[in-house]
Amino acid sequence: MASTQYKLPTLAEARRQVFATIKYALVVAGGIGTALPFIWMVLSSFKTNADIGRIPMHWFPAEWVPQNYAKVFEIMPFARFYLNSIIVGVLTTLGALLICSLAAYAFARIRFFGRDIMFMLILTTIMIPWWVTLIPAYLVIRQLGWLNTYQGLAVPGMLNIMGIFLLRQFFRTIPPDIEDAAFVDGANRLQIYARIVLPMAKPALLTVGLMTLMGSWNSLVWPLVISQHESMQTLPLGLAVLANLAGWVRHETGALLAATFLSILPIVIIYMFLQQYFIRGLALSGLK
Amino acid sequence: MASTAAESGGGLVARVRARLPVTNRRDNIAGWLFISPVLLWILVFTAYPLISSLYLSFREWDPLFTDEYVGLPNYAELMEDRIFLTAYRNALVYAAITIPLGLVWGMSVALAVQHIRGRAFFRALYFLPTVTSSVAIAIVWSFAYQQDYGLVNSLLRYVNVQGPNWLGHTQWALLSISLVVVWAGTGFWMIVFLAGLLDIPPEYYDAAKVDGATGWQSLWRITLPLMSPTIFYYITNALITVWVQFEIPFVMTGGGPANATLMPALHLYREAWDRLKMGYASAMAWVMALIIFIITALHFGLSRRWVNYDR
Repeated sequence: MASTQYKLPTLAEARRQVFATIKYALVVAGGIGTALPFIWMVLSSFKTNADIGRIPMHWFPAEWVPQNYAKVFEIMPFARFYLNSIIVGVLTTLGALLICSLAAYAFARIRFFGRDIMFMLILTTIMIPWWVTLIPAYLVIRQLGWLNTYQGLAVPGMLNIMGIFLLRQFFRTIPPDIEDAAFVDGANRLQIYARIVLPMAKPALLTVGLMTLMGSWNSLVWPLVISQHESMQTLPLGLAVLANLAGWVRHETGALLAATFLSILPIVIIYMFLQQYFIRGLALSGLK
Repeated sequence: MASTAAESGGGLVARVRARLPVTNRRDNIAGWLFISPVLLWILVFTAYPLISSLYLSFREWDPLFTDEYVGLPNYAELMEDRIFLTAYRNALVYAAITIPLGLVWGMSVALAVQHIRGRAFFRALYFLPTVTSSVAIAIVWSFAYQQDYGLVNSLLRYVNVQGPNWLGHTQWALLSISLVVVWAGTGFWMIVFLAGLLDIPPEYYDAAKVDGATGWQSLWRITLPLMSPTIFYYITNALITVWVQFEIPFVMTGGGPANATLMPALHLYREAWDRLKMGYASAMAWVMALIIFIITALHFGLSRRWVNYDR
């Protein structure tokens, strides 16, 4: 260890350089490894099926065939899947923002009997593995006659415990003086929540909204048990069902990849523009 | 004294308010009204299902015909269900691959990217799989693992290695799936680790350098001990998520070949919705919950020995 001190500065410098290069190489290699499957997916979605299966694999289409994208709509009710995903995603997100922000506001600002116990109780429900509640939750939806309906798909997902926690933390940072002034002017709790607190909490609402939307857009298990009719399937479910049909995959690889690409596109685009909200939301959310 | 009380009128009001009973009637009503929607959701979709699934786990139950109390036999049957045991053995192997690999790889990338130019770009790139649906990832990777024209074997061919039939071979399928999960999770954990790394005061490293510590020594004596709460969080999360993995095997292999990639959650789903044995599947769910609970409790108990919360 002591020997390092006596090394020539140039040598230490060289060592540092080598180390920096290794670090860069690691990051770049990992980055390429992350990007390649996506790049392959996009490029292959423009290949003919024979072209995709060519051995050895080649990166660029021998002939660019955008027809795969038209075929997507012929071989499955893709537009319907898309519409379903959008409706369920929007309903879930708006519902979650409403019920979570109401509760979060109460936990942050209102002193009511049993508040702290209720808050702890609600937080601990995060620890319950959701496979335990899945079967009876499905039976509840079935009992309500909500199988194959948008409300059946969207309503349970509106409960976002992490969202309540994040919003409460944010509401606590809003100076109470502003609310006190409104109280003096005769405003009630609901008015303060709707007109003062919510508008100030836009960044936090955006974070929680994006988390919820992403969760809903990407979820498979709940739609899998709720949507038995093809007309009520969401994008991940529709694609998963089609990908599991072995014969179909072999014959329409290009179209399946085109559909997969189209299915992730909205979230990826939103992510590109609102990156920091995604990263903050997910980094803060303990148990995804 | 009188003048100070008059001056600090606001403070006095606040102090009096603090002495009063912490709650009043209007606030009680308002508070409970505000949280009532969330309570309704929890009652209907968490609390009732929790009790109901325990009840179901002691019964032979399907949504159409059967409803009959059987008691413990569901649980006894599980212990003899070879497929159930296979699913848990697979999950153990899967945990043994994904947890250490995800930690080492995620941490390495976070350490490497920490002071690099273009950090924001790489962070955004690595995070991309996190915002992508598991189904899309599974579809793309099931082609990437294809034996002849797949991406993985094509890349291996560049270096003259003939890759196996990744998903079709019992020896490789579970490893293949585990690697996809690590690949998909890297970006998320890199960001969590990066947040932890950036929290470490740079003076610590400066002091170590003055004392002649090498970078390697700094890593082991400063970085990792100070990162222990973040690592603890990673492991806590991983110990829960390994048992509930569903999407990747469901889409990529359907649990095959020969149950080599069957996971507890996938098995539970099949019993409940393909075979409609919902009582039996509820018993499976409770065993899963119990395992998660025990492992998490052990993990928390052991954490006192290595997690360092004082900074």
